[in-house]
Amino acid sequence: MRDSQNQNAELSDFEAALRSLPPRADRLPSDWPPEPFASTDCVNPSGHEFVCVHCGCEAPTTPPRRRWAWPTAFGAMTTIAAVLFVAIFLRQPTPNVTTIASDGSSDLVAQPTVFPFYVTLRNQVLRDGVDSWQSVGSSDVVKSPAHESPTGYREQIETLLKELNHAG
Amino acid sequence: MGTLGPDAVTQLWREQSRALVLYARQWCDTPEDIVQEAFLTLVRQPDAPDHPTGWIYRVVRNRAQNAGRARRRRQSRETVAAENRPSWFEPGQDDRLDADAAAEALQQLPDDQREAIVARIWGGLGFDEIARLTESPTSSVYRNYRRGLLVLQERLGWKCETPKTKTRS
Repeated sequence: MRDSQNQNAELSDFEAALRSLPPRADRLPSDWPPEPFASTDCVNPSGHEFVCVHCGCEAPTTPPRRRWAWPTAFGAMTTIAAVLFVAIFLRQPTPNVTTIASDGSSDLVAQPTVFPFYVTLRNQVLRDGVDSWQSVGSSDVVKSPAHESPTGYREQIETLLKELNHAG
Repeated sequence: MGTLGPDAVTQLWREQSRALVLYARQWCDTPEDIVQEAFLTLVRQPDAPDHPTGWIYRVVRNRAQNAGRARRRRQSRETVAAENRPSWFEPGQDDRLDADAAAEALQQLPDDQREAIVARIWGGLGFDEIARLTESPTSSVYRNYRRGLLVLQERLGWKCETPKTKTRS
């Protein structure tokens, strides 16, 4: 008990000695705050800095003009993104169908379509090699099978069989 | 609630400005600037805080810690600045304590102990006010304060000159 009393007295004395050391504040102006500044009533409330009365945290000091710049940009970007997203679902893809003429009408037969030309070319290149491409490409008009022979499949088979019989 | 009157601001300045400088010096190299800015902020407040002393300590603490963080980012310049760092105290009237030694011993204390001692001894704040300031329990603040004082006493080789209670021979 007596020891703690002695310790407390010692600490109090030490506190007093510490308190007698004046903190150094060389760069602190002696005439601050200036009287006119301290006594002037505020006429410009918009120039206030807002610091929370309870916690001392500072409120953002962004000027009002810039305060809504980010929300506006965010809203605009969101709108554009939404419009593009809807546009993706509303967009109807155009069908890319190649029509092949199979009936015997004269004007369709006269204009060979691309598809038979491709098939003919492919078969020839596979059969004779790439060098034969030139000969195929040089021909201006590729005739469709319908144009080549008006006969049907069954007649071609019969013709082929007859030739085999003759050869045999 | 209106703004703080000029007399109150002036009085607060006279009572606390030096202590606030010491308080801010724990974290940053420009404590005088921090203190002046804090007082300017206080004057510009549309509503005066309920406890201006605690409030201004809080503002100084926040700003000094921010400034300290910014200083640490400029790490390369710190070594030069540390060599020219001024002492924390002016020579006191009590010649039992050396100002430089006290400052050095104070700087070597842990942050929470040093903060409690500075706020209590030079700022004159109560333990409950320091607890609110540091957002820690009052008992912890008291413990830190007392422990810090004992460490300081030991480091400074303090010998009490007050007469001790006499023991019966």
